[in-house]
Amino acid sequence: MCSRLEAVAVLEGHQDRAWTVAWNPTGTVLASSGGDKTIRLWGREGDSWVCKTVLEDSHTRTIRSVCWSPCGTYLASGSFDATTCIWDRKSGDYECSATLEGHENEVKCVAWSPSGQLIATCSRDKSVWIWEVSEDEDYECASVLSLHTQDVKHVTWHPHKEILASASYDDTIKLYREADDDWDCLATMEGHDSTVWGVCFDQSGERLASCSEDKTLKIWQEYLPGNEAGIQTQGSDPTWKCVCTLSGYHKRTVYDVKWCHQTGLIATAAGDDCIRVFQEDESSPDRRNQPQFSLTATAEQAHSQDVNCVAWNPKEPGLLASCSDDGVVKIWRYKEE
Amino acid sequence: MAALSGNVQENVLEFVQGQQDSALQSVAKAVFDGETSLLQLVESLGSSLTSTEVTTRARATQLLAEVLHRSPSNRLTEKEAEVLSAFFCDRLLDHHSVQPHVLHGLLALSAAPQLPQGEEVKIVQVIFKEVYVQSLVQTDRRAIYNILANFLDTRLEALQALGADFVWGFIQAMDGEKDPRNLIIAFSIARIVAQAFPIGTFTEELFEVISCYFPIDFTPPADDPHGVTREDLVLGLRQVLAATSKFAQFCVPMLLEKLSSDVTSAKLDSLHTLAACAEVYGADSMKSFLDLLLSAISKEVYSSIHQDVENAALAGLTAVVATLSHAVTETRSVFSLHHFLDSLLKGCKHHLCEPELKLMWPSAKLLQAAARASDPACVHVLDTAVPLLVEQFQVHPYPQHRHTILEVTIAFIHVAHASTSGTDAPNPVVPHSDNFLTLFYSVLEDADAGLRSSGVGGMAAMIGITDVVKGKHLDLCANHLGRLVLHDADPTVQRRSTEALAAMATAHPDVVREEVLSKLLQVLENNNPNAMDTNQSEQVCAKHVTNQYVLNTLAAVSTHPTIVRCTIPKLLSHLQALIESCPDQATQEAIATLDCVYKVVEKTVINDANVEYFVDTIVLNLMSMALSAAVNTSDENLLHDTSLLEIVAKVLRAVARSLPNSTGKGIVNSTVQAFLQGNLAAISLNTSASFEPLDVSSPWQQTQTVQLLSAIVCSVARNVDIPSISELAQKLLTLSCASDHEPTSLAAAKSLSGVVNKWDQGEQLQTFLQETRDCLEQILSKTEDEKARCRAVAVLVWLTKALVIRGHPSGSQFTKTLMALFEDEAIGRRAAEGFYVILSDSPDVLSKESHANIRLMYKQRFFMENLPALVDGFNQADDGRKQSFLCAVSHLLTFIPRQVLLGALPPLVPLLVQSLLGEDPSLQVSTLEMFSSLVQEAPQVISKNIDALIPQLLELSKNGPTMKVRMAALKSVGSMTSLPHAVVYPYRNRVVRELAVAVGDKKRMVRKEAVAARGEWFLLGSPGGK
Amino acid sequence: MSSPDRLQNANPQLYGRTSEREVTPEELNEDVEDAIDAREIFDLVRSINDPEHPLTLEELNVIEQSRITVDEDNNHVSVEFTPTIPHCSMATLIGLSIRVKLLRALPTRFKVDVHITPGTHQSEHAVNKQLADKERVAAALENQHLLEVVNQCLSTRN
Repeated sequence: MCSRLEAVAVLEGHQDRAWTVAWNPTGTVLASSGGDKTIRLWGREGDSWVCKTVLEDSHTRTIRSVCWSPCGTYLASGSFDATTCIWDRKSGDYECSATLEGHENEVKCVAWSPSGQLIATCSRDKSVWIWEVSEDEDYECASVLSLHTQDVKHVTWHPHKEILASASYDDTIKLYREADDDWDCLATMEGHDSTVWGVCFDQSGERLASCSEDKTLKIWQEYLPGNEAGIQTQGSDPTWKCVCTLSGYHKRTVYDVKWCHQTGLIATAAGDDCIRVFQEDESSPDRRNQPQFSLTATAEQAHSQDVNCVAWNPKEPGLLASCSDDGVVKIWRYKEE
Repeated sequence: MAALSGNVQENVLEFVQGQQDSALQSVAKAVFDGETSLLQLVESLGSSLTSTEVTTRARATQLLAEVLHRSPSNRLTEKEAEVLSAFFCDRLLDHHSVQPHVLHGLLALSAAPQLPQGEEVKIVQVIFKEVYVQSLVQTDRRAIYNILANFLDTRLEALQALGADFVWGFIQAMDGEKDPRNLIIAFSIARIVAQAFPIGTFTEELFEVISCYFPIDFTPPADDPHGVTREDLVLGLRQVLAATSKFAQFCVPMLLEKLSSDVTSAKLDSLHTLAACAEVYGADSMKSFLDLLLSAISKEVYSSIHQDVENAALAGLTAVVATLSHAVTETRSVFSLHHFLDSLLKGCKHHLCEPELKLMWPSAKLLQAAARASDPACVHVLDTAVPLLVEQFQVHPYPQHRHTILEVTIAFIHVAHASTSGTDAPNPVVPHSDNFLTLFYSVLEDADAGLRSSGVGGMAAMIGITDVVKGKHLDLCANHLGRLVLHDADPTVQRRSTEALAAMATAHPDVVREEVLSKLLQVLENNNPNAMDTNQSEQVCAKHVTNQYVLNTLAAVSTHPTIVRCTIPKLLSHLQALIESCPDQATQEAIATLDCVYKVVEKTVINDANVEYFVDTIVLNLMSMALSAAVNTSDENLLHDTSLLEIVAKVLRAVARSLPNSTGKGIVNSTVQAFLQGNLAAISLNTSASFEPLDVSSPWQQTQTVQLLSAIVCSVARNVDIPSISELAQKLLTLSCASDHEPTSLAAAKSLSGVVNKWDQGEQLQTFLQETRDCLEQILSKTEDEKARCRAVAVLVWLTKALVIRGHPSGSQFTKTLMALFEDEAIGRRAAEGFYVILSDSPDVLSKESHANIRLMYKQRFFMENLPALVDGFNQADDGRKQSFLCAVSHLLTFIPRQVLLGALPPLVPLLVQSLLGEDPSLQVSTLEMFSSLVQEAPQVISKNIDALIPQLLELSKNGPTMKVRMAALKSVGSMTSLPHAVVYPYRNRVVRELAVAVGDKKRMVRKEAVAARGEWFLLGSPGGK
Repeated sequence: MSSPDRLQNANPQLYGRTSEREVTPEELNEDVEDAIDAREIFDLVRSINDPEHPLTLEELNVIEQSRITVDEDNNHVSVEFTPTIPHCSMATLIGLSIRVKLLRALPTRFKVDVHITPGTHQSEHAVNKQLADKERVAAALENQHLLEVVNQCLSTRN
């Protein structure tokens, strides 16, 4: 380990556990949400970070997830109250302009597609919903995907294509894409021994990182038909294969994993109160088929309780936000030494 | 018949025509004063009463009815009553706007004794015939119920002549009644109807019209002015249902049905009603429902989700069995009692064979509830249950299961105990007593302590029933218990055996004396320092049998005079032996011995036969032991030890307090002679040594005996005069102010306070008080010697207490002198602590038990007098000096009656909150404890200060200087959850969050409080919580 | 849940109650730090009421001190509980009550694991997985009905 995470800011304000942090596309505003049913928006003021706005009174239960639209004008929030709210900043202040209803129970994650045209949500009701954003800002359900056999914990979009990944309590990860006017499953990744809490693509979209209650981190590689490695594929579909498992680092459940699209660093949030950063070894002999990753930094006791989420700033390389059951949001800087 | 006087006539007209209600007053007064008769009034109303205008008729009738209500009952003649009755009955057919007034008039008549016989029948008949009751408004319906109730109360026989017509009429009248106030009256009527009328063919209708209200589901509106509670209605209805056995065939099925509901209140009401009805319904009416009842009741007891329901079910069962038992004289009934009990036993038996499973206890409870009902039931249940339990005991090898079986068995014995208390019949346990005792004896040597303990408990239960344990069993029990006390290593077994022996000693002192006492005393003797070769003694006792243990046991079993006379001399000679030989640990053992003497005295001194005996043996012996030690300062003596002397004083006090006047006088005189004049012969001590205990220059061994003086002089009845009181007081004052020996000085101050408290009011006392105060003020203001000032404060405090509690006028001057010291750096705090002494009950002097002169409500008066000055003092004192005032206030608040405190509280709370900021842990703890109790007693006041209080409490729960402070703060925080929801709920999240620190406190006991408090706050506003 | 015929196990085996923990001189000493030990955890959870019976988890032997481990140094607490019967449908609820009790009563530094005693329940794995999922636990506690039942289990019965 040759680098470290240095705390830049400690942001207190949430009255209950904080579940998510999310940077806006320009990296100037950090949104966080949690058990206190609020969303807090944090921004820089001089050298320090302060709470600019508190959004409340729209959800009746925990706000589990928030994400920004690619244009940065909208914010979507998913809650245990089974709804997803769309917040709109057009009039200056954030207002809840639409409520997406349909899930039978807790919404666990919400994700806006890179094009801004689609929103994905997932729930304990085992389904993934895909919503289409129309010209006049109407949100219509485009598809309901009930392919997981248990709660769906997390959804995330491919960085360039309209491909969606979902992670579930049924220990699998699934990929979906649109075909013939509907959505279907493109691939199912089995390998984790327990609930998959988080999944994310690297910058290229050819790799996925996933984290799980089994305390491991897995790296999955896409193999297209006719690949050099000779990995079997079916028809024109690619195959996703686990090429690396990082175990022995995390002492408890890994709740989140984020792959930085600028630096290639992977950050994890875990139930052992630590944040860890991993980096791929460029020197390894077969980087494509047998990549190797090493732990480059650990923030021990980054929080006083479980760390639930991490987020790399999209513009400022090495700036990382985190949040925890202790209700605190923190901002870190990754320093190479 | 003379016409009305003009004035009255005018008023009558005015009322009838106009809307002037005030005219009524004048008319009523004219009738009340006898100026006008009722008939004259009727006559003058004549045309109005028959007017074609409805309103006029109504007003006229109203006037008549109102006047009737307001006139004295003896003014009404029989003739008038008859006329009015006929008139009202006729008018009942009139327009609906007239009817209410007619009913109002009839109501007045129904209460009039002058109403001729026969009219009541006519009235009732016309009401039943002409009035559709449920179409009337509530007040008019109530008038009808009241008319009926009045007649049933005073003219029952006449109405009974109406027979079934009355029943039917009433059923129709109340059918559909909804008003709770009316229902209360209707229920009481229904009860009489059911009991005193031939309800025969209408039984079912009457039952229907009543039972439709069951179970009562009624919540009085908030601020209900009528005061009808759910409970009133429930009891009213229950009385009707339990009024007659004719209801049984309808009521029991209904109760069974409601019992099967999931609503707890319905279950409870059904079971309570069953218990109330069973006896009235009788065995015959219940017969066909017995099986259903049994299974329904058993079900409730077996599931037992609510303790209340379980208890009600058991009480219901007891009532049913009692009913079946009542008719045991008829063979048929014996059969049905036994039949019922047999089916109960059949259902329970197999559970009694499974002591490891949950249903063992519920089954036992069912059988015990049945056995509790009557002797025959008890006998029958025991006949089956006892052999079964004994057999199960043999079958089950595990101690825990055997333990359950024994405890169940003991519970049966307790039931039997209650069954014949107060009668001469042999107890149902008698036939089984051999079985029981054998069972209990059999576990006394078991390896499992819990089993041995149960065995002892069983013996104790048996011994508790008069005349059950007899003859050889008595000796055997005593023997076993004595052995366990001396040889069993388990503390619980020891304790329970001692308790059993103590109970036995009261009923059978001779057995205990012979079987046990000698052995205990033997141990004491063997351990006696003078006895050689302890190891060779025959009885080698268990390790736990220390002298201390034997002494405690002796104290416990010395309940009967016979035994007391055995133990006391042995104890005193043991003490004497200790003094003479002074072995290792002698002081401790002497303390234990004296303590034992004290316990025996305290427990048995109420028995007059013992008092004289105690004076002769204990008082004189102890006094001479102590004083002969005191005059002999050259040799060391155990009794020079101040703590020992204190216990001697405690024993003397216990005796002196109970002395009759004559004896008291003698002992006071000789004690004063001894202490004032050094005349030791007065207490039968023959020595030539000089004894001057009240002289400052005497050795401390002598001066400290002043506490024995006070033990006698300050404890006897108040009307026993103290000789040479003035001289005595003066000497005590000097000694208390001047003695360097702290125990002496304090004892002298207390002694002085006791004397002053009983000193008759008069010039002598006044002079003494004046001089004393001057003298103390002199010392306090002039002396530099800190110790002397401290002593003076103590004297001042004790004297103030003596005066304040008797309500002596000088009390307030002394108090002022004391408060003037609060800002003194060196002794301010000590002076403030004096408030504790003044208000707390001291065990040695100035207590009620010591016959002190105590005026009623002195604490309250003291509080009222001094609180303003204290609050002023607090506000004006410099920051560093405020603590003394807070301390005094805190003591005041702890001791005054709650009512007074609550009155004075509001302005004090901010001051109390501030006292939490201080650095004095003991003050913080007492203030915190006060807040905890005030939450219950003065929730409004605490609610008002919640904003200041909660942050302060949370701070102390985290960072309080001591465990006690943190625990008290947490208790306080926890107690706040009982305040009104709107007051505390806003703090919920904050408190829950901040208490997360305290649940991680480094001290376990603090964590325990924190967990409790935090748990309460988590439940606040949470479903299933509060 | 009120009548015995609807109970899954109407007549369960009963066990004795442990006596109160004795206060030691060390506990009264202000300066000594009292470690949180297995007995302390046991005392926290033993009085939890069973959802079906008016009995505590201790009386039903669902909770035993020997199945509790505490690692003060690593801030870890583990509790194993034993359902009275292998098909007990209340197992998750009981586990949830234990978890919530410890959530409320322990300092946040502790990581708590609540498991079924191995081999004592037919859905052992599924129940354990649910109890370990803090998101599900959090959601369950926002469910008013479930919260009510849990609160009742945690209330002291009078």
